[in-house]
Amino acid sequence: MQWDFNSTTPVYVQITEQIKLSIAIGELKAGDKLMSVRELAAEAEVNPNTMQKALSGLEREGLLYTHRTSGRFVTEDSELIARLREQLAAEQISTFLKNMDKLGYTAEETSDMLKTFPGK
Amino acid sequence: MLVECNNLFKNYGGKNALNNVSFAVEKGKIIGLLGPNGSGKTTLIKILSGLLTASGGSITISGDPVGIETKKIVSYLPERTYLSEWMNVKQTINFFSDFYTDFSEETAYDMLSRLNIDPGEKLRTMSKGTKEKVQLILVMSRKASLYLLDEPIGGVDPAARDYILKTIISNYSEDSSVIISTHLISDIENVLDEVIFLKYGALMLHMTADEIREQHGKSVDALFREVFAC
Amino acid sequence: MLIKLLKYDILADYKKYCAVYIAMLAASVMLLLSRNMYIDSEIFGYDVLVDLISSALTILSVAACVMVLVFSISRFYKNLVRDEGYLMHTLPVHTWELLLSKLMAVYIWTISTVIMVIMCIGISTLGDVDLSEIISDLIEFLDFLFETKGAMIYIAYVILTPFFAMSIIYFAFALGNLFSKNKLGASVLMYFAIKFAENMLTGIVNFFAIAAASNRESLESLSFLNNFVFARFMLSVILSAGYFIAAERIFAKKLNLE
Repeated sequence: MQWDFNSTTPVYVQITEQIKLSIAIGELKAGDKLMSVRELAAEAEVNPNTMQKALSGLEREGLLYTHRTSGRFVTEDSELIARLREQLAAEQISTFLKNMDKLGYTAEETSDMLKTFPGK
Repeated sequence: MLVECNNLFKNYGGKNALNNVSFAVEKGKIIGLLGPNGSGKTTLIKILSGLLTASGGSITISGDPVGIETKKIVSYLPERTYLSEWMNVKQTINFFSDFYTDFSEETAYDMLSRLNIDPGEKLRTMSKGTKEKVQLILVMSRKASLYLLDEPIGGVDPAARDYILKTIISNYSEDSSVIISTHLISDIENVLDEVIFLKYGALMLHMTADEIREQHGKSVDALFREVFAC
Repeated sequence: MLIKLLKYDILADYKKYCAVYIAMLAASVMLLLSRNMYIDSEIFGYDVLVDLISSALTILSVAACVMVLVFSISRFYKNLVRDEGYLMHTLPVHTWELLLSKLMAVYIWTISTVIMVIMCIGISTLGDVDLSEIISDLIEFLDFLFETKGAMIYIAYVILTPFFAMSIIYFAFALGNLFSKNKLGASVLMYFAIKFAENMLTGIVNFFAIAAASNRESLESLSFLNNFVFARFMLSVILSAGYFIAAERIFAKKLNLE
């Protein structure tokens, strides 16, 4: 996995977001086994406790689950993954709209622009 | 608590190298000991390792005052090369193996081969950088309770820096803690659980790295620059 | 742990000593050969050669002692006072073990060097002297020593000389270590300061000893001499033990590596 951290948000929050994104885009597939906390931490060059904190959070959200003996896996609940994808999309749209709003475009204008956006 | 320091003082020829420093370190943490040059980082680490005796206050490691018992469980990397020139790498490994029961020769040889260091090579013919790597390998091949790393990434190339960080991370255990002193904060801040800021021998701040970002909305490095702005 | 420390103290220097020992042996064999070439001839210069050989052997013996001293001081300084001290003083061993190991190494090298010097003298004078004569002389001398009251003191003196010599050096290094700058220079200065103080003290002891002797006859009597030597010996023992303990305390409690 590619890790990229900014310097203002707590690292565990950023790890959570980046794993969520990986799951949503299918880089981490349903049922995939994750590396150990230590390996992941070494790969991302972050503190193992921080990695643990992020993974525990994702477990609480149901996106990951731990099999007592064999390790940690991505959920096989495809509905949950689909919802995650929608949620991330919604976040992107809301950020986008907020930025367009700052530039002075109304939601309708933005919508029209999107329809005729050349790169589409 | 793994480490407990209470009202620690150290006087050096009339100056306070440490001024009423109190803090505690739990097991399983990686702690950054941060401060400008002359802030007392090395003094504090030397006291924990048993090279210096505090002028006042108390200090315990795993419940014991600093002495033979704590030296058995503390693995210390000083900021200078301390290996005997007449030895080769293999002999330094034997040396550590002889004196430290928690030393793993297997781990050491494994790390040596990954860094392409020949165990037969003499310390005398090595570059300073290679010697530093050998020292780090020896220090990290112990299963110690407390690792004291004084400026482990100062003056090494980026590849070595990455290797050192990865070594610290993969060596992580819930039963041991690591105290790293450095002034290169941005390089290591993602690896830290907690940070301790020292200024003129006094403890300025002791927080978790997450708290700093949550409360201040800035990196440890940025906060450091703010606190120590000239 | 003491034995492990000693092992590395010996390993650190054995190559240097072996090299010198081999050179010594080679020199004495060469002396032997060069002498045998001339031994039966009445060539002019034979006496000069014998003189040369005997002075060479004297120089050899002195040089060997100086070598032990120099190597031992350098080992102590490099290993406990300089950068290597960062490793040595954080080992899970007592400070007295660090010091005692160094002292034991001095004894090992002194003994082996004395044996080497005797061997070299033996080799270079081979055929010249009757070995059985030397041995019987030696036995006679030992008999004399053991029969003479107070002679044991001289033996003890010889045995403890390396301890006397080294403890003051360890103490000087310990004191020099307390200085923030120029520790080596400070150590040398401290050595002479301690030596000076020690000479003052022995001077005072000598003065009182002579004053205590009521007359010239008692001054020259063997019992007075024995008592005097014993007093000087005990003074050296006490002082050296004091230096050693003081050095140990300073290194344990006031260590101040650069």
